[in-house]
Amino acid sequence: MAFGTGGKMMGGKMMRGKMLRPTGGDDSDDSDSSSDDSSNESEGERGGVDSNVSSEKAGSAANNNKAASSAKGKSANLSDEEEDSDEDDDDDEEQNRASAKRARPDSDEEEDSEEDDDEEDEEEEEEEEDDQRASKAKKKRPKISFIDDEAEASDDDDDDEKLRNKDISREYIDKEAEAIMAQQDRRRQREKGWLDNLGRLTDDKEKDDSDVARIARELEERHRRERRIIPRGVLGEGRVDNNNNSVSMMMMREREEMIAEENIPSYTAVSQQSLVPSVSDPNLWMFSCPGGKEQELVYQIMNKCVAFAKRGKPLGIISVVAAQTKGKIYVESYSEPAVMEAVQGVRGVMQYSMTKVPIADMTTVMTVVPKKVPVKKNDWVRMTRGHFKGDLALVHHVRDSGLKCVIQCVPRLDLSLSDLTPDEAKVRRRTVKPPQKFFNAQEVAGMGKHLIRQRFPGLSDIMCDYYDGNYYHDGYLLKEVTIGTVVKPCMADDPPTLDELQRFRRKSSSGDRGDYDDGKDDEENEGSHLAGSLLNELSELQGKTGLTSTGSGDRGLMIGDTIEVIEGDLVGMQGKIMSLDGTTVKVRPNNDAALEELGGMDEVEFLMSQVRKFIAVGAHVKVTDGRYANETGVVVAVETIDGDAESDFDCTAVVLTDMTHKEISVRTSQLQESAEIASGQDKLAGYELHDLVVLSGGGSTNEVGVIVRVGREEFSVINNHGIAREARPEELRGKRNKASDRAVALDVQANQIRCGDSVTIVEGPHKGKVATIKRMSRAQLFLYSQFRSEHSGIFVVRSRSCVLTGGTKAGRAAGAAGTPRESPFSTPSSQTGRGPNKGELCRHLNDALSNCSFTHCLIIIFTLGERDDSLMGKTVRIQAGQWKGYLGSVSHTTATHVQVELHSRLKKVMVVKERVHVIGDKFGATGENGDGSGFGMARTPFMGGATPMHGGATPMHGGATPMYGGATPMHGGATPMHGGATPSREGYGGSTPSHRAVADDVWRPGGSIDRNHEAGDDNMTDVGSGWSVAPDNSSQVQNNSFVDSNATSGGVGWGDASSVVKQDDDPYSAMHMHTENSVMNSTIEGSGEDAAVWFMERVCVQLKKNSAQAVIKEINGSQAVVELEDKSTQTVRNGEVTMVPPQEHDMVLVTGGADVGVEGELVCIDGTDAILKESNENFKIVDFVHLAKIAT
Amino acid sequence: MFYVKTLEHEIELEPIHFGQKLRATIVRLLKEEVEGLALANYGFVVNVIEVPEDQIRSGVIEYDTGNVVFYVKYTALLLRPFINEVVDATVAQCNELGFFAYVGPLRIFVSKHSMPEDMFNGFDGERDSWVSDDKEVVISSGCGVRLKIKGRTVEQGNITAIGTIKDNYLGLIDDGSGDGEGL
Repeated sequence: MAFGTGGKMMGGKMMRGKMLRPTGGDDSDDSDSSSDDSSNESEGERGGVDSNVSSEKAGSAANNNKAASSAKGKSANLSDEEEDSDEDDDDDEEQNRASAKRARPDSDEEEDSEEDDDEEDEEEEEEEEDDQRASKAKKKRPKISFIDDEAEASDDDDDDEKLRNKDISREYIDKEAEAIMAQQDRRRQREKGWLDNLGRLTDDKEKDDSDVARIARELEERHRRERRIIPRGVLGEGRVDNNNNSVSMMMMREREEMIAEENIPSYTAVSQQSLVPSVSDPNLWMFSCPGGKEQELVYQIMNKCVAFAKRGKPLGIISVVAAQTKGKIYVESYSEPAVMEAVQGVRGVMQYSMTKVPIADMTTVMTVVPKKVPVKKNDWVRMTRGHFKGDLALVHHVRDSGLKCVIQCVPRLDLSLSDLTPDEAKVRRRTVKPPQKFFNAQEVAGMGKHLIRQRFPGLSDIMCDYYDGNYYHDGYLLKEVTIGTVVKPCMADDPPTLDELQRFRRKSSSGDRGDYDDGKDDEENEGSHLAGSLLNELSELQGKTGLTSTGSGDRGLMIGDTIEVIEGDLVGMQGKIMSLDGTTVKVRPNNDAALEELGGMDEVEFLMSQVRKFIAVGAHVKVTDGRYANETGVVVAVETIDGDAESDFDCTAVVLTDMTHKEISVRTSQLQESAEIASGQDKLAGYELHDLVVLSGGGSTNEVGVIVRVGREEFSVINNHGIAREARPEELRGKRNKASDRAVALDVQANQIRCGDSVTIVEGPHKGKVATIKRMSRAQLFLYSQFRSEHSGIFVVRSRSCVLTGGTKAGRAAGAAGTPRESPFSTPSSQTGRGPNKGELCRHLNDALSNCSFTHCLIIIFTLGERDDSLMGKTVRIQAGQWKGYLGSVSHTTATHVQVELHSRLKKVMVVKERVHVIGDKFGATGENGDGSGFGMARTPFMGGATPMHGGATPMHGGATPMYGGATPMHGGATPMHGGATPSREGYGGSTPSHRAVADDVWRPGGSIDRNHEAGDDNMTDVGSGWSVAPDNSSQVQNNSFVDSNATSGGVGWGDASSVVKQDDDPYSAMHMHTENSVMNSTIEGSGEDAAVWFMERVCVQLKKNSAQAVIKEINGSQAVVELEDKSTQTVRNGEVTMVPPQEHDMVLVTGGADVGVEGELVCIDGTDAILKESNENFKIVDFVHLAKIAT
Repeated sequence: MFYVKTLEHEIELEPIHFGQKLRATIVRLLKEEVEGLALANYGFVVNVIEVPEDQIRSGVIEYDTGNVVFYVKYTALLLRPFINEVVDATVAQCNELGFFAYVGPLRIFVSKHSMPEDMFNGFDGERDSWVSDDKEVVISSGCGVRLKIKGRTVEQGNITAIGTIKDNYLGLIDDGSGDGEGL
């Protein structure tokens, strides 16, 4: 019976060869003719028996060929067949038949002798395959045997039928099939593993018949079962409809593939597709089991299989699989009972849960969801656990077939841990995240920690420092971690930032310098090698992320962008993108030469990969993407990434940001040229950069600060003590911008200063700096300087350490008629005398003024209704009326009145301005503060002539800044002069020489200012300064210029004059030297040796000894060379000459007062006043005493 | 680069200015308005050299204000930075990112990236100066440097530039101790 079965099977096998090979032989071995064959096939299906026969012939021909050449080995086989396939079909057939005949005798013999073995082999193979499947091997191998079986079955079934029908071809077919069988048997023998041998060993001679019979029966049973299926798949092709047709086609191909795979181990997507299971494949049963036990159970069942196979009672299962699903294992088998038997007695498998998996779902079971992106060596990964969470790491080594890897990252080592008690350490470990820091063996050893040099387990080539359970190599931490749980690959949406990479790289490069003692030279080298590889990695990655971050891989290119060609003939060419489509760009070359070279072509088309965005140094750009998105700034450098050429489509640009004055590195693909200046993005939770905010959580209540940086989720705030710290939005208690805008503070000269004012810092660490008030809080000014880079230019200074330098609102109001913006180099002439109406004004008010008392209200009146804040905050004494004699501080001013808050009574009174007398600043101080209108002080009786006091400081500023431009305040300054005949006035007017003129006809009191200024601080030169000496400014003092040192250091003589003017080191008083000097005039009066105000070049003098008229030509200290009328020169001391009183129509120079330096023709003399006509036709009213006649 | 060019400007005058000195007023106002301004295409107007009287056209009265608009042609001395132009500038301020230098009104920023390699890390915060590795070159405020303009930013009424000293014959030319170099 057993034999009978065997004989039947043999026939089946023969048929199998016949049926399988027609397609298999052709298609798999011969790719050229595969399509033809498949069409043949389909023809055959439609055409019925005849075409079937022909295809069979063709197939058998191929088979014969194969059989014949099988001895030569597989590769030879393949090539042979390829050659053959090129030949004519008929030829093929003949040849193949011949070869088949030749081969047949051998194969026949083998067939007979190995018949029995063959059967068992098959069984054992199945078991062997179980193993393979259990280890998740590909399904192709099991299927091969399965297909064999299947084919056996089907062929077996068709055997008789076919034999009957195709007598003619039969003989050949049989022979061919035998040859194939022989070949296959040989192959099987080769492939048999230990299991085979095992089976043979146990396969005793006295194996009882019943056993054999059982196997035979089983097989027969199986064949019968499959007979039902196969006809449709293999034979019934002609009958099935199109849909099924495709299925069967697929099955055919499947087999072809499998056969092909025997020879060609590689597989493609198509072949993968063809592996989809069908009804003809074994079924799959699912069992539940405890989670985590899957693998173990699979092993158990495998062992059971082996054991049973040894005993000669193989289980009828094909494979056991623990797939992706947790708590499930799958058993593959043709028979359900076999499955039951296989799991019987296996502990853990829940037999009751046995479920058959529908065919459609079988692929799902086996589909490996690639949720874990495989990690390769030198990939970047991110840590997901512990202190390292979020850190970047580099895969150093992959282990456990991709389940684990050795990563390299920057350690976060807490050296203090080991000193703590276990409990404390536990707490600390949980709470404190140590900073990233490279491991330094010396440092650690220096702290007395225990350190061992040890090889990293499994990586014998790396010597590491072993400390506290971790391995450190080259400063980095090496650690074996599980992929997926401890590290995750860096996805495209979260690429390592340049920052991180650089942080990562730093050590490597510094390692080269040897500050990390590795002890071994080759390790040093490895360090540098690592650096190199990291650098490459970096550039590669930059390229990659450059691509991915722009999404569609358009490299951030947009129409209108300037690009540079980086590849091809036109490399280096620059042009503008005219149009874009997917992969190509049309570019219009920028320079005409290129245009010409292109022979009149307007546009050139390039591949996207051939161009890169070109960003010029100096361009103003906006960052469109990435970490610094929406920052704007100026490109200060563009660096091509060194390293491989692949990434050179992307450069790194260094951008100096507008708002924060930081340098950031950005890829050019993320940049967009733009004139926009970012401000909007510096917002977080309603707060913006430079907002004045109230801080909470600090030690002191009411701590305020200014936001100097807006981070992603926190701010940097510089508080009122100048200390910057991080603050989260929750810590901020609202903005105080409005309050800041309204606030008024007083500078060191009691000038009112407000937000937006420009101040000079006169003391402290920032001494000499000029900055703008951004915000203020009480007495603290938050100043902004564009020159400073830290804290985005903001720094904190007390208001009383500053002095207003101009640009005040009042100043702007006064100079309303003037230039709208600070004009650093307007010519002085254009800055003075704002139109004739001012002159009129002067005249008109003259009378009124002469009646006024000596108060600053004169100045105020002079501004004609403009509110003058110069009295604000001043301490005044009321001179008349009900409150006469009371002291108070001015709390409010109008054009005519001041509101005085009395010191002694809780009361505010309105007093006419004329009736108050300034005696000090807000704090009552009356010290020398370099008052701008010092002459006012001189008149304050109780202060003493020599003590300058605070007063109308404004004019002084007019003197010092361009902004002031010598408008109203200037006149104001001049006004008191007209006050007429106070003794001090006369003294003042009296001629203490202090000015000296130099050779040129420009008198520059500003020179002194600038000199002092310069001496005080070199850094302080103003932004808009310099440059201001215009050729035609002879008529006017440069009191509007804040002259750059270079502009003035050349020839101005003030500073090196006989130095009657005390050179005060205090910068602010120096600042106001030119006004202060009028104060000094009175103080130095009488000291005969001091030069008079008018003692300067070009002034006409009279020698005291002989009343001869002379002109001062040169001044040396207190001596002067004068030129007499007869052109002879003489040297005189300053005491030996007197000034020639100017007369009408003389050319005169104003030596004092607000119009000091003005030159003009004296038109008329009116009492103590003189009217002079400037060269620009303007009229000026000047105190006569200030005039000195000059030589024309 | 400095150059002289004839430009045109529009001056609006109130009727109060009409009279004998009209032209003088126009010239004065023109200077006030124009000098120091940076015109986007022409650069800084350093000085109004000449306003030919005959080039002041008769004004046009604006009917809604009564003001008169004069179109004035004038020749002006202009300073315009050109890309790749080499200029001598005075250093005004150093910070850790580079230094600012001035050519008259033109501010030029030289980033540390645009300095020779041996100065890249050479910022001396105490002295606020850039020092080369061999301490030979010290750039601090007041120094004269020769630099090449690499980029230009035109803003409303102002022009700033980016320069480099990383090239042959560029760099420090005057350490600020001597008298000012001819800028």
